[in-house]
Amino acid sequence: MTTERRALIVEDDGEIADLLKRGLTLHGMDATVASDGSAGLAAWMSEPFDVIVLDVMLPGMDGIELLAERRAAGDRTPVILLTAHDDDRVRERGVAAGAQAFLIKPFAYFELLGCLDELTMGTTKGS
Amino acid sequence: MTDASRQEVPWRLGVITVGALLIAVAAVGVVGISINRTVQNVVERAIAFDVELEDNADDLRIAILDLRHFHRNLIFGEPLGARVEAWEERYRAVLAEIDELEALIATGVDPVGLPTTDELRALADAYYLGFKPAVDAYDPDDRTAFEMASDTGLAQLNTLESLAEALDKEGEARATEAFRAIDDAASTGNWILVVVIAGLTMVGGALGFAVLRMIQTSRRLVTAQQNVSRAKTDFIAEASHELRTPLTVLRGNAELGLVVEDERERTKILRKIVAEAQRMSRVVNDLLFLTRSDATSVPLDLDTVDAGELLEDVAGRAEMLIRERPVTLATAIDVAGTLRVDATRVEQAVLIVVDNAANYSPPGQTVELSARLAKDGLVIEVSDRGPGIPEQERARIFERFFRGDGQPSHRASGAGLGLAIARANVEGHGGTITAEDRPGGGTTMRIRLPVLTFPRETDDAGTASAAIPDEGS
Repeated sequence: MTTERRALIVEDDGEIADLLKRGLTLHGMDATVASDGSAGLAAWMSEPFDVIVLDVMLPGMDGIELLAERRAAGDRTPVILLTAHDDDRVRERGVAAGAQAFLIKPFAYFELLGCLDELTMGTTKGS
Repeated sequence: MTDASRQEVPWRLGVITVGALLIAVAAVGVVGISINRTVQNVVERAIAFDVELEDNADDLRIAILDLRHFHRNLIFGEPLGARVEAWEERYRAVLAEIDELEALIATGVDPVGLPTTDELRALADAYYLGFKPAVDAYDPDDRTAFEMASDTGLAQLNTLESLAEALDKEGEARATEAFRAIDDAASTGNWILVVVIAGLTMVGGALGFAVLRMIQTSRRLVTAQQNVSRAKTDFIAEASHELRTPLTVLRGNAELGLVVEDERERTKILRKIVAEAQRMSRVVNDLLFLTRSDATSVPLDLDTVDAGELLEDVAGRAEMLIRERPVTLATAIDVAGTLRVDATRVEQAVLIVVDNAANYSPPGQTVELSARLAKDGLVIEVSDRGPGIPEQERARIFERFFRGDGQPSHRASGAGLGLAIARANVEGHGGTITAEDRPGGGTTMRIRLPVLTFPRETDDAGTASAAIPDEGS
């Protein structure tokens, strides 16, 4: 992969956001962090990303609402939802809103990488 | 304990009412039987006196009047042949009536005040034996002796008749008396039945009430049980959620550590793991504390402490806590007297509230910590100039895991357990914790704790009298 894939991380927990950013960087991706729903929405709309890593529980607008809004606007960017709730209802809501993958905390780093690679396969920056 | 005894009351009430109901039913049975017997006796006696005695006396009178009629036939016609036989037959009828009366009296009629049958029979015999010879010796040419005997006989018959009449009257009187007794027994029975019905209605009412109370109690218990189990499920779900976040950080960092080759980067990762593990153990401790304070009450290590010293200590620690923040702390401690508290728990509660206030204060602002004595105990207030708490969230901020919408970042506000722990601590001491709007913006959290002894007036007149100001001053 010659061009860096771009990822947006929307996560309110500073430690997890930092972990994700370091992990994705280590995996050769370019990661941007937004720490709440509205900042995430603004970032998502401001530039193209290859993948969005989106926490469900966010202050203000939650991750699923944010996703639904973007999908309603016709945005097809692949999304990985993160949640600490191992709850089928949350998963159903996420899938209905248009998430491609669903990771339950505490997820394995390699599981996250697997998801990222699968979802960004063949994509390059700006394509 | 009081809950348990309150729950037992409806059961006890139920048992008592069922017992009372059984006793009442038995009483009704006994009363019913006895009333029935009384009425039966009275009616039987009445029938004996009325129908039998009065009837017999009547029959006797009629027989006597008949006899007189046939006696007269002997006088106005000739006392011969068939006429004498008819008269004698009537005489025998009178005797038969007397026999019948005797038999009746022998069955148990009270003979007091009644002419005796012997008396009646003697009179009848005297009449017959006096008149019969005159009939036998009848001489149509000289009727003098016959008519004299006849007059004597008629006088005797009159006496006999008046005795029969007296018997008749007595029978009637006794019957009237008996009917009055029947009436009395019946109305007594009615009253007793009315009382019994009223009693049964009351017992039934009490039973119904007890049943209602039992239903209510069991419903309340079921609801309480459901609430408890729902709260427990919610707590477990929330707790696991709270633990998943630090676990994610731990696991992620550890996994990164495995792939990172740079030694310095790896050390950084290990430091993060240690810090996160410490944070996680704090969350675990908080969860354990709340679970324990749920199961029993808060485990308190009570000691009698000086209020002033305790609050000065707490203020000192609060200052240290605030030092790392971009806010300042202003303290105003004006307390004396003694408290019976677990000093560590009180300090924990106050520090949680101070920490909370610092988290919400914009940089450069002051958090105020004050303590004073009011009539109803020790009042500790912590005020900030933060965004304030919306009215509808004010009660909920003390619930576990509750985070308001206008929260600073997750990490800064912790697991949402702080105020729940503060409340458990304060309430464990029999105190209260409340939040209210602060005039001019921000929030005031108020902790009230009961005071063991107020400072004595004689200690130091100046501070002692000033130490117990009226509430609100």
